[in-house]
Amino acid sequence: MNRFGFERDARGVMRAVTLCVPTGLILITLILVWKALPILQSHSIVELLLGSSWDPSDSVFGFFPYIIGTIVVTVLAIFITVPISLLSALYLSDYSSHKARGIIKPLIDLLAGIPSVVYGLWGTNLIVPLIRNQIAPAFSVTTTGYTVLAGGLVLSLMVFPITISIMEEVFTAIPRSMRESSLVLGATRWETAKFVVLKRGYPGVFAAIILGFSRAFGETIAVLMVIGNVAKVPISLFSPAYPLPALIANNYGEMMSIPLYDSALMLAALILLFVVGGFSILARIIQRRIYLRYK
Amino acid sequence: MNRRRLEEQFFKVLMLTSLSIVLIALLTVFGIVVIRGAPALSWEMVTQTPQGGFYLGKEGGILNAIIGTMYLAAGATILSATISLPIALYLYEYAGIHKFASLIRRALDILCGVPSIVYGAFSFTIMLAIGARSSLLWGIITVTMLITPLMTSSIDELLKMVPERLREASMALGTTRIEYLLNIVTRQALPGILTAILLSFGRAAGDTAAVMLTAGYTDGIPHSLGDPVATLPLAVFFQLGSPIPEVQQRAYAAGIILLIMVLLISAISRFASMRLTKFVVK
Amino acid sequence: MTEDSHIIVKNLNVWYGGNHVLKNINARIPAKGITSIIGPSGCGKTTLLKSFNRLLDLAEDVKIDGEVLVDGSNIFEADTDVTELRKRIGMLTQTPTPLPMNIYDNVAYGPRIHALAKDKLDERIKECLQRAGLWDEVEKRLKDPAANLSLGQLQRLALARALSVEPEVLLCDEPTSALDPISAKHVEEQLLSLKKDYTILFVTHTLRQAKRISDYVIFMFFGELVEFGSAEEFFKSPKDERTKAYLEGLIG
Repeated sequence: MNRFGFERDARGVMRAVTLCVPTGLILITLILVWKALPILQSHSIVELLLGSSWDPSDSVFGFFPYIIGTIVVTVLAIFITVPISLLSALYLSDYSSHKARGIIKPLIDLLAGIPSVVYGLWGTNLIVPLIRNQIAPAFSVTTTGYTVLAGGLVLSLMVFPITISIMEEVFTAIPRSMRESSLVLGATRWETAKFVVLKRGYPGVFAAIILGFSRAFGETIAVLMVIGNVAKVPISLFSPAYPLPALIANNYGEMMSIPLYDSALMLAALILLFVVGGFSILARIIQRRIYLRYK
Repeated sequence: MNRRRLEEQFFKVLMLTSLSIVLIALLTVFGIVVIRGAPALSWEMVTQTPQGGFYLGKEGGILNAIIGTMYLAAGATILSATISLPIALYLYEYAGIHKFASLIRRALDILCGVPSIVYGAFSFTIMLAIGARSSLLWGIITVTMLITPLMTSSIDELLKMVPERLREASMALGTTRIEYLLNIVTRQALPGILTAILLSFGRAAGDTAAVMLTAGYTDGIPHSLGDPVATLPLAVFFQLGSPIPEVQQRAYAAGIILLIMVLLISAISRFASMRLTKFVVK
Repeated sequence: MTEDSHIIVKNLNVWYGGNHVLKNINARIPAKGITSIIGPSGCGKTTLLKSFNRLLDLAEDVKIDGEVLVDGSNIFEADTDVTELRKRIGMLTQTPTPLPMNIYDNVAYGPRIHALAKDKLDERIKECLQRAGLWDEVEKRLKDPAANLSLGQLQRLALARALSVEPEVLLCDEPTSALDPISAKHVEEQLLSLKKDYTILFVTHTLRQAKRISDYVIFMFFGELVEFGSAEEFFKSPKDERTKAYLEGLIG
């Protein structure tokens, strides 16, 4: 019968397309691994991960500054974002009126939609001069402004929509009755937030932080535009740095002209893939824990 | 008692300050782009392609990037939607074998988090291996890889919110499952699906890292899928560093147009959502 | 009374997970007229209903044993066309669910799927809405979203929808218990006017309602079919002890 034949065929097509998802993931991983293999075979892991010199024409590939650069700027961004997100999310879930929430949430969504180059523009035009002319001199430091601090600030603004929306959702999901049992005893709204909302919500907060970290780790363009791209381990907030994504982006073009360079860049991409993948799985595990706990 | 009140006040102020910081930052983002970009906007800017080379040529505008972005983002979004919808519907209806469904969703999560630069690098590797040149086609393919997991996840989440009683109502009339999916579920979830598609379009249009070496860059407007294409983000990125002020102006003009685009998408999706929810069953 | 049986149930057993929900049900549902199914809450009335149009298939972890014969053929046989079965057996649920479309499309949905009344769709829809007693209220706004209707109107819409595919049987699962008294009366009246043309199975937990509308009554008690009879016999002289106790309000 026509209708059943259609269903059978449609279902088959849909299943085939769905299978492309895990296939695609495996494919990407495999190909990156395959391309990264040459450099892993000719250089030791220790040399690659802990070496500080980067001179591809001499076949010296020390990823250390890049790895540290990425970690430092990401951690900085998280440090800035988390307290602000937490407080903002709490405000939105526990203090603000419906109307206010209705205006603020779309604005935050707007932040999420802004392309990274535009953040880069903001960074180069506002943040970098700010650091160069105001902030650094206040600490008696001279700098061009293209610094880890700039990268951290730009990243934090980019990550903010993600962390705050997850946290706000988690807080709002906590039933009113729980808050009421605290308020009815005479607790202030802040005490309720502290002892009820945050306590119940902290796994979700954790998940938000992890996802934010993951996003920040892989962000390329905006950071690239403000961080200076100097391949040295940053020693202070006012040093420039060179994160892994920027390494790939800046050197795409020369990849093929120097032996093993392409392999090195693919290794960088592989590192990014694994870190981000690992974080994603971690966040899922935490989410499952929350779900099971609330059942 | 006073200490507690003080604590409450203190944190309340802290919270408001935090929120304000973010909102003010948002304002400054818009502000900077408008201040630098608005003066750069002119009729020529949006109707002409760069003359004399995009990096050094003083004349012309960014029409190449505007049209290029439209082609690229539209192509990627359409391709992505034809892939995402079947997957999301399949997960909703047929992947009842729980392990399978959660495996797919986990893979989707990971793919969502993969940075666009990694997709770009991956794509570039494939292109080198098969000897393809950077072009509109490859830009579309790469960006599709980027936005499909996002679109699929969003729609998947949406479908979870379709009330189960609709299934009973439909099946009791003697429909097959696929008829239920195509006629009822999609209609119920339509506002959300549209929003997801529009947001993906925005993401596709705004990405730089994935298209950097896969789409090429050019002064001209592509006439076929094999031609290189310029996009607005690339226009900003490549022209910002130019020593020539007119070229820099083009970068800022591209920036403000991108911003306008984001605002438009946001407004359109909100508007469309509202119009379409009148049929949605609570 | 049982010469003209539309549905015959033979040794029907249903399990939800480990729960034995329907215990060895045997019944012969007469053709045409209203057969009420009464009994305390949770005794399997809805499950019995849902087994007739195989809507039970949608639930998880369900085990079914036995036969249900509709016009002679067992609906649980592997080669049964379930969509055709559901076309012949329509259903009203306790809470009416509109489809996410306008009123016209709601009623047109069934016929379109089954490719019925292709060029006479408008007439068919009008007819169904009239038989459901909703036409007057919606004829001017057929293109409005169905979601905007009141609960009573939605239930009548559900009735129109059920009628649109030309069923022979109507399964009604407490269709008036969520409605206000006036809407409830409306729905009852429509069903009463339909009973000469359709076999209507009507689950209710209100004895008064059952007394009002039934031609035949089935009494179920914790998964068992305890007694069956014409309405007059059933209410005047119930045979089983449990039936007597229920009717007197001592149990359930």
